[in-house]
Amino acid sequence: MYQGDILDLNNKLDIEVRGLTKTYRGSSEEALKGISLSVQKGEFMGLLGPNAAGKTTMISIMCGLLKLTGGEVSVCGTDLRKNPGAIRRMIGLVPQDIALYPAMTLRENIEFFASMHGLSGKALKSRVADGLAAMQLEQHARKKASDCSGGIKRRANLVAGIIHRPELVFLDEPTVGVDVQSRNLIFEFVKDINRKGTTVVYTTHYMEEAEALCGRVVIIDDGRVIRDGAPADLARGEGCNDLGELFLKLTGKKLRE
Amino acid sequence: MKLLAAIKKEAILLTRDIAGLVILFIMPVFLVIVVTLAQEKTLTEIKESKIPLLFVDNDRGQVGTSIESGLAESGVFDIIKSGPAAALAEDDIRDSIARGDYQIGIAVPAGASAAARARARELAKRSMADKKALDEYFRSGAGLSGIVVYFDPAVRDSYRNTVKSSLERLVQGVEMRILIDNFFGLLKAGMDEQIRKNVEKYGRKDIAMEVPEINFPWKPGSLIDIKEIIAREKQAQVVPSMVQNNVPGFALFAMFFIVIPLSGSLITERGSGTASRLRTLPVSSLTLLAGKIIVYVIVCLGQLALMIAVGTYALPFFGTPALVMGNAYGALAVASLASALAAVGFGMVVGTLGGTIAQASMFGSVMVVIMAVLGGLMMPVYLMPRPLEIAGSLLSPVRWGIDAFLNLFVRGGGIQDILPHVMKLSAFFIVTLTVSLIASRRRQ
Repeated sequence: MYQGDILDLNNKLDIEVRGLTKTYRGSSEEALKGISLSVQKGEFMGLLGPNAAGKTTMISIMCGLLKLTGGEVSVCGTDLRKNPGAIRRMIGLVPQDIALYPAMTLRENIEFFASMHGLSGKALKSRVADGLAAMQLEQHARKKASDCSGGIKRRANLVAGIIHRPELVFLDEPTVGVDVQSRNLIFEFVKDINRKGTTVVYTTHYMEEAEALCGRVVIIDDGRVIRDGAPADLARGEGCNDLGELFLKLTGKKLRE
Repeated sequence: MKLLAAIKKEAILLTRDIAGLVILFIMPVFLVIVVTLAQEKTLTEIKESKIPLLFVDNDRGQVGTSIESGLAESGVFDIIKSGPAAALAEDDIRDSIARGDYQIGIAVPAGASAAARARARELAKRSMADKKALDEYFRSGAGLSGIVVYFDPAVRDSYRNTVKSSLERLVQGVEMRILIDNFFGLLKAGMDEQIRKNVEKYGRKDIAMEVPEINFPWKPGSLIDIKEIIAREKQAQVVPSMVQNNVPGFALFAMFFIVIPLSGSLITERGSGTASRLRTLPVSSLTLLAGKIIVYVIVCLGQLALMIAVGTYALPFFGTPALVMGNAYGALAVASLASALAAVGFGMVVGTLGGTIAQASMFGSVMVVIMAVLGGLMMPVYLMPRPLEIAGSLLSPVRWGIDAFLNLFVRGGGIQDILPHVMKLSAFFIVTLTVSLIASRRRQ
């Protein structure tokens, strides 16, 4: 459990979490019960856990969407308690929901989010074109989001979240409901931006995805970190064949919701 | 640049909702045409409570007393004879009505009864002489006494006509009593004189008398003239009509219906996850909010412009007078902007507090109708029960907006006349915006 007073900010860390607790208004139970972890710059970290384990709460706190109840969180060197707004230029969020305006075309959506990051003129056009090309969305760019398939929307959702080339990106289940082709494209894209230096925090319920993509996984359950390490090492350490087997061993087979 | 992008995004979202835009623009046009035409033909108004009526009796004689008691006995009017400090003067009545504080006032000038009696005597005399002389006297109007009835220009024609005809009946009753008193007094005096002459000449009373040809000297308005004055603060050339009342009324009604697309946009944004994404962007919530406010205020102003165009150019095709806006364009701009901001503030607070689109749409539209009713759109506020009238004045931004526009369009007022309403509308916008921001933060 965290006992210190002031975070020792290390410029090699993108995320430093110590003793993080969160209790929602009107609830007597803590959703997060003193979580501590850190994420190195350029790391690809998987945040795993069953439903209601606290993954989305944690990501929401680290993105500045939720206020923390206790502990300390530093993101990209900024203490979230003191200045939660300061991280906005440095992070990107690809939420689990399709966070696009259904009545706007894919291009209009991506242009809007790029504008909100201060991009304009040729730089904006070029960045949007690159994003659309990377996700093979050029031929769909003029379609309204509401008229696009789930896979196309997921890919556009991803582009909208990283269009400003953030230092740190949170991907909250970015492959839910997509076909194998779209999933592969998303994998390649995410691996590519990570190779170029972007720190990635990735949540998923697909263990094979986490195994394939993440250099390190943190498994949380009931608001606590229960394992933290490289997927293969963790599985081996518990005598399991793979991450999926380990996950079930640690979190049980009982339904959570 | 970010603000422009936010504006562009809102404009795209709004223009893609074609059905919503059609409802916003076509519905009020349809309403204003149908309801104005219907009301133009209506001659009676429903009276559910006593109507305040300012009354000055400088006559203190038969005319003033009879009119006052007649009005009181009708059970329709609540007669107010004194102001905060002293008895009302005729100028007080005109000023109060010009300000729109009251809708009707009656002033009976000093000497009205004496003048009516004098004219009645002369008429009675001439009725027993020759008809030509009587007709000449009728036409000349010599010694005619007059009472003045003041109307608020915002009062509807049908209601004004109803009040006027009630007053005419009362006045005719007074005229008849004064004339009969004088006529029969004169007739009796003439007969007494004839009897006296008969006794002198024949020594007896029961001899057939020579009765002169008599023309009963009465027709409406033969003694008392009713002068109608539309009280205005300025010398505006506005003729009161349903168009002057209904165009701003329905424009306000339509503007507040912005609650449906605006609350829908907020709730969709919140539900789809775009609101969460927006909160992770390096842009202030005020900029995003400003984008919304600017676009929806422009829509509201567009609605108002359309309604004014309908009142000016379309309604005359159906036989109604054209809308006259007056010359206070600056004041009109201020009233329009304040009303649009209040409408947008209402949409924002409903969208922030509403859980679902269905919930917000239902609540929002019912509230708009209630605010419009309290604002006097369906029934004039002066005909409402007092508690409802007070509730409208205190709680309905639609009422404040309508009052501001009536001051401009009907009473010929200027910026100083709309300032209290504009301040209420602006305060409503600030309060709703603040509540929206607080509620939005609390959700986090």
